[in-house]
Amino acid sequence: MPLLKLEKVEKIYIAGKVQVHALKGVDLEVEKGEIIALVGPSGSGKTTLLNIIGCIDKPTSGKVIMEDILLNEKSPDELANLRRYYFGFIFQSFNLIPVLNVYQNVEIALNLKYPKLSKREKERKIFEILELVGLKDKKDAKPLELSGGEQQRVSIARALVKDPEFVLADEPTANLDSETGKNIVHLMKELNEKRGVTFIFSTHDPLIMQYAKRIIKLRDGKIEV
Amino acid sequence: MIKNAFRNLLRHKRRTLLTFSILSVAIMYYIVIQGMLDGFEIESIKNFLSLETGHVKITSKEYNPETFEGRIPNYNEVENKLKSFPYVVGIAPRLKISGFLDNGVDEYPVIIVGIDPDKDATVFDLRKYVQKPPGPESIWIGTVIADRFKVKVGDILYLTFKGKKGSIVSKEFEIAGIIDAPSFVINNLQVFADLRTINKIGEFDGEISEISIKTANFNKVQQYKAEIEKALPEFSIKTWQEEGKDFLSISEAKKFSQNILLFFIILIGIIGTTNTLMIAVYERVREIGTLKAIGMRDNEVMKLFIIEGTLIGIAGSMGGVILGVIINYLLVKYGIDWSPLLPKNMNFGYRVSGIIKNTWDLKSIWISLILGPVSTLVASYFPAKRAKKLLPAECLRWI
Repeated sequence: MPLLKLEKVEKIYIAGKVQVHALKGVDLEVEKGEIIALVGPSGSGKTTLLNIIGCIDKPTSGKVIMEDILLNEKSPDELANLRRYYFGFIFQSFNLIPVLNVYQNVEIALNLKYPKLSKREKERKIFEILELVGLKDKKDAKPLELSGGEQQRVSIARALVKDPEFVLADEPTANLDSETGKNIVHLMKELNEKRGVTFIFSTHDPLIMQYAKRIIKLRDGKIEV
Repeated sequence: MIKNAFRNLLRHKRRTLLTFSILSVAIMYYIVIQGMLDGFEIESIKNFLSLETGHVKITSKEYNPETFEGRIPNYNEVENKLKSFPYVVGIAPRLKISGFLDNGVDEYPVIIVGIDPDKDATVFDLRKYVQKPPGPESIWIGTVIADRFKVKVGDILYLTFKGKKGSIVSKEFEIAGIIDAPSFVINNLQVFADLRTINKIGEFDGEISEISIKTANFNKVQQYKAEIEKALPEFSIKTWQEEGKDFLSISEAKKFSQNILLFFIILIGIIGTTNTLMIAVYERVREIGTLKAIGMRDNEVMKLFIIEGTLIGIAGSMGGVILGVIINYLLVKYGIDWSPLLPKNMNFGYRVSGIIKNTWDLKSIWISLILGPVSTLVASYFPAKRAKKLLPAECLRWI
């Protein structure tokens, strides 16, 4: 049984009088532990598809099913719970909270999933993940004091600290130099192998595509076969 | 969450400081003005009682305060009955008549108040404004009257009035004292003369216009009035509140102005906080999207902004209360000399003059401590609701 299933998913954005058909009937099945690369030109619907998979956007029609549960009809709070417990997001523009330092940016995601975790256990998990992304020494730095690559690594730590089932990454290497991008991709590959985390990337980066177990090509809101 | 709200407030220190300052100053202003108005009122009531009405006033039922017609004969009987009440601590009979004061050239309409200086002093505090009491040949006059005639203590003026039988009588008096009291009526209109002298030359047969009494507790005058009314059913008994209807209207106006002041403080709190938080919501749309994307529920995002707003309110109220208490403390201790602003020849209602000290209005402090945070909490509701309603995907697309 697939972990996640999309059936005839359509998404139409309405901006004033203009309608944008971002997804035009997407069918997709995702198995646990996969690394999927969503590729396609700009405007092909990659980010929209990621957003719908990650429950931060709702499809206009079609079904999104996770472990046999239909997500379409879930309330905003139920969807927030799914994001809290099952998904980790890595954004193209990092989206760190500027007033929080590295440690606190990671902590906020951990607190949401495990509010009753002891301080010691919390520290252990955060330092473990910061060590993994190589930022333990910069735990007190604010996002603006970090390079793009470092910020992306904080974003990755924030996504991974809560042991998600899925990590959804929107062009995670787009803002990074090739060396940093490579390191990050290696890191994700390692996590996939060690922890069985399912990764879905949207990307133009051939390096990511190289590591992906499956590449899905999107064009004009449809999956190209 | 509180920690995060605090951090968020500190990210634009100047903006937060401005909202905080506006709220603090408004609350400080409220506390100080309340203390000032209360100071005016307390001083005013004190002066009103000790200079004009006493605690309870007894007149005949026919007494007309405009023409002073309807006098009390045999007031000794009334006085004796009043003495039997243990709470009556002072009794002052007064005879009031209309008359004129002149210096041979100009004349000026006045209210002649005949007093028994010793008895009068048991109820009224006029003696502290003058050196010696009026006697058979001397009078006290108000300071504005003295200014008009350009006279000083020791000078001579003539008092003219209509006696009981309708004959016009006139007598020369030396000025024994010039009263500069916090009372428009006394300063502008009244001439105090010896009761026996006025009675004799006007042939009033020992009649008087009113008996003012001082009681042990002026807050219990309603209770006293009922008891005195039983003992003196043929007389009209009025408490100082009934006598001082202008006071009640001042008090009402004061309450009204206090409510307007409060309204503006709440408005300042609400507008300032709404503005600060609205800007914060729009500045942090992507951040709100991120928080929602990592699993923060809509209500939790809303709570974050409400806490931010309430924190401004708490800080602003506390700042305002601290400032207000410091300034009020100084005004309670030293007061403000209002003399240049309080004209003697104009009746503005309050019976005050010179240095007036503020009082402590604890209610205004409590109201400030509660209303500040409550108003900013209300103010933060709408920006917070806006943040709550934003869809995570929309927020993340926000540029």
